[in-house]
Amino acid sequence: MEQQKNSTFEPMDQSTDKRKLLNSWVSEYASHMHAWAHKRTSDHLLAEDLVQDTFVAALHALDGFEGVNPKAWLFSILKHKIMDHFRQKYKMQFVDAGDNQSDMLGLFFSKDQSWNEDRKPGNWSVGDEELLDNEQFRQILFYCMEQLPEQWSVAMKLKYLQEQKGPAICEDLGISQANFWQILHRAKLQLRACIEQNWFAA
Amino acid sequence: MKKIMNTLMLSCHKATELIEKKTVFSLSPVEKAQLFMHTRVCDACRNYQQQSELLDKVIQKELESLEEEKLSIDQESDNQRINKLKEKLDTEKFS
Repeated sequence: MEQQKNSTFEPMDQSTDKRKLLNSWVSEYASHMHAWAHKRTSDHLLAEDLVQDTFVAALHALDGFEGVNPKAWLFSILKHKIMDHFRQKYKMQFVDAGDNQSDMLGLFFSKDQSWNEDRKPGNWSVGDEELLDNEQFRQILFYCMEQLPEQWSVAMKLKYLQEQKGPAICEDLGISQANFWQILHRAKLQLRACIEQNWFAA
Repeated sequence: MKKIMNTLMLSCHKATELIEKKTVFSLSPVEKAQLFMHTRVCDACRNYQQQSELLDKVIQKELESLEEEKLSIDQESDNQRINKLKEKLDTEKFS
């Protein structure tokens, strides 16, 4: 990157080599990357943009690439692109979130803050291992995640995507720590309820 | 004694909040004790905790996996995207 800043053009053959290399990576990894980004964003156009941004960034950063594992390198750039996108989205939505959140908690908890009788988590009576590898359960889980208010699902996804934990995410988003875990709490309550409805009641 | 009981006894609302807080921040010793006490006596919150941790595991596993995804997209649009991407890279300028 730094080398590029200092020179206004590159020797023709070097940039051609870079394009050739990138083109071969596109053939090899792009459709997998697209599917991967799509799963995390649920949006084909967005996934397409993010994959494109990733390859453009890779083209420019190629000098800094160690050359060992292009797949892992490309996916780590893509992951950062996805997180950047979520951060922006979260900040954009931050303004209008807030007011009806206490209503939602009222569904689950009574005035004295204990569980409402009809919302008490019961025993799922299925082993963890069984659910962990159950394809249908996974599908319902991700369907339910998409049903959450967007800001909540974005906060959740950041939690899972980011290696650094809470404090770093809060700093990124410019929110208080209490705010962050309260959102995660509401999101999880709703997610859990949605899964119970769709999986166990079916 | 009553004062101690009051600081140690959490509501279910607070207990489940701490369960989620614990996944991203570390709990203070008092919070740990509160949560431990609460889940010992409250079946519903114990179920919640177990299920919440399971959901975290499933989501984490899914989002982290670099396994080949099952492609839900048709080959044709996939090829179109790849060609578009190659064109983009061919015209991308080095500054």
